[in-house]
Amino acid sequence: MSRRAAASGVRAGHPRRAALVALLLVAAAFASLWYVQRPPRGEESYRNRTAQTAGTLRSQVVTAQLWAEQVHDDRAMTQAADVGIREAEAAAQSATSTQATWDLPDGVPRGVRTEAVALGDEVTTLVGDMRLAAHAEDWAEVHELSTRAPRLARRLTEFEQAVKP
Amino acid sequence: MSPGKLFAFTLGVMSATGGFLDIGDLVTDAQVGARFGLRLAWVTVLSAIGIVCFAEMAGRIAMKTRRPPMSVARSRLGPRYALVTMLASVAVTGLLVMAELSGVALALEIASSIHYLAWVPLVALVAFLVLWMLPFEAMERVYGVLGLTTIVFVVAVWKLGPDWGGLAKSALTTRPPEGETWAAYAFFVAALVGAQMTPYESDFFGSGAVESRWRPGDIAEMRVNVFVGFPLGACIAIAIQAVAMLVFFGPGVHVEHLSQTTLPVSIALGKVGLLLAIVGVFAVTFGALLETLFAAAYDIAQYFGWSYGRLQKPARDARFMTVVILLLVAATAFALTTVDPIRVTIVAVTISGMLLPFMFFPLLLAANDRTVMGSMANGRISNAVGSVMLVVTSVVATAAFPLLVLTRGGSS
Repeated sequence: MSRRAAASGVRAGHPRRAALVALLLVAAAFASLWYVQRPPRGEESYRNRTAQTAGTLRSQVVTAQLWAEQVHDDRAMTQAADVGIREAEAAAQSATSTQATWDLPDGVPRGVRTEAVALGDEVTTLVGDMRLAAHAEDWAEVHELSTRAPRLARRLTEFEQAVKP
Repeated sequence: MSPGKLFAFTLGVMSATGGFLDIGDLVTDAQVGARFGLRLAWVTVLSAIGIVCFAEMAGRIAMKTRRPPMSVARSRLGPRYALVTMLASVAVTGLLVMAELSGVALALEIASSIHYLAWVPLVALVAFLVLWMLPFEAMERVYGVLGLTTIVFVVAVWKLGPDWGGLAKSALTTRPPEGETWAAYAFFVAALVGAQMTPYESDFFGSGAVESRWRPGDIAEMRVNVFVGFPLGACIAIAIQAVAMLVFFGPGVHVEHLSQTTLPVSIALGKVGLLLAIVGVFAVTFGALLETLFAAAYDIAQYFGWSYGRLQKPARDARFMTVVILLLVAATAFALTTVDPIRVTIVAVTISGMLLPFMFFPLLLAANDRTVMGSMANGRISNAVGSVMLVVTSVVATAAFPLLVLTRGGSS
């Protein structure tokens, strides 16, 4: 092979190799994205993810409660609390709807899903009511609603412990 | 020391303090504090040592060579290395531009209750006008001073009346708490390193040193900025972890929103504290927005040899400013797709962690070259610390992406 032919072969190889590497990286990125987003498979994964959902729901209801308390104690501006409660509701809704879309693997009683979704609906309703009262500037109502949060948080903690594998 | 010099020193320290903190820090520190207490405070200390080491090296390279340190560093490893690292750095910094832009908008949302997406275009416009019309040193002074309001987090720790022994015990414990996995612990180590040693910090610092025409005689000022400013920022970062621990750790609350970062300050200090925290969040994220914009544009301009600068009038650096504007437009468009900015931040800091050794290795090489650096070449301490940090960041870089995937961004 002549030196020129050899050199052109090497030069031609570099773009192909670079394209292949780029393609593999893109494929790896998409595969990782799929893995992160995929629903749980198997009983252990489902129980773990359901426990995480319960933890997320507890986070949102306690956060909303804390914001309501700060406004009640005149320690926070209503604008900030309004944002905090709104974000908590959105996160609770997202966690509940995601939980509801997962298929139930073998070995997991249907009651687990039912209870998880029911608790999610309770959190979403409570925090949603708090949001509506906040928008209506009825912060006394927001505080009254927030007094229900600790009991709901305890139930979520109990459920989280019970559902873990 | 003259009052003018003292003022310049103070401003430099404040800018470096604010430079350590950005949306990645605010979010990651609060998440870490809520889930792990102070068990990852050692990572912040390590990251502060690392950024001090490499920012100081970047400053010295800039002073001696009067060239941007990353440009000097990359040129040692060839154009292909320089191109790949430049593209990767611009991509990650571009993500951070979007995250910082959203962070400013989120701070405004917390203050006003108006949805952050409504603020995004306005913030982008203001950022453009500030860059176009204001001298950069004026910008630095304003957000440097305002960023000091983040000290309210330190005050909040004290006001919450913690069990100091409990805090110390948490800080000295290096295993995850009950209910957390080692995978999640390792992921947040990587995320914290990526958030607190972002490549753009040393890049911006070094390029700024060139623009400010720092000479070897200014080394004392440079070192004060670095050795005082960044550690101060690290103290505030640890304070954010501490207040999150004191309020959220017990009830098992996970931090998912920027507003939750400010809630502990409200509990500790009331409305005034909350307002200061919001101002602080606004200032550090706005400052970081400007810095990330410049850092990404510096990378591109320096690679292609365009004129650039934050001290020159924008019209003299048309290509540089065009890149800045395009980045701002792209970041605005990305933010308006309603993608969760917190998730983008977590991904960006993780990828940032993956790039660190590729940024720092050439810096270490360049700083050791006595033919270029002369008497300002690295001494034993710089080399020892730099080498250790290079090993640490290499481990982080290797593990960061697999951990991001396995833990689903720290969720499990």
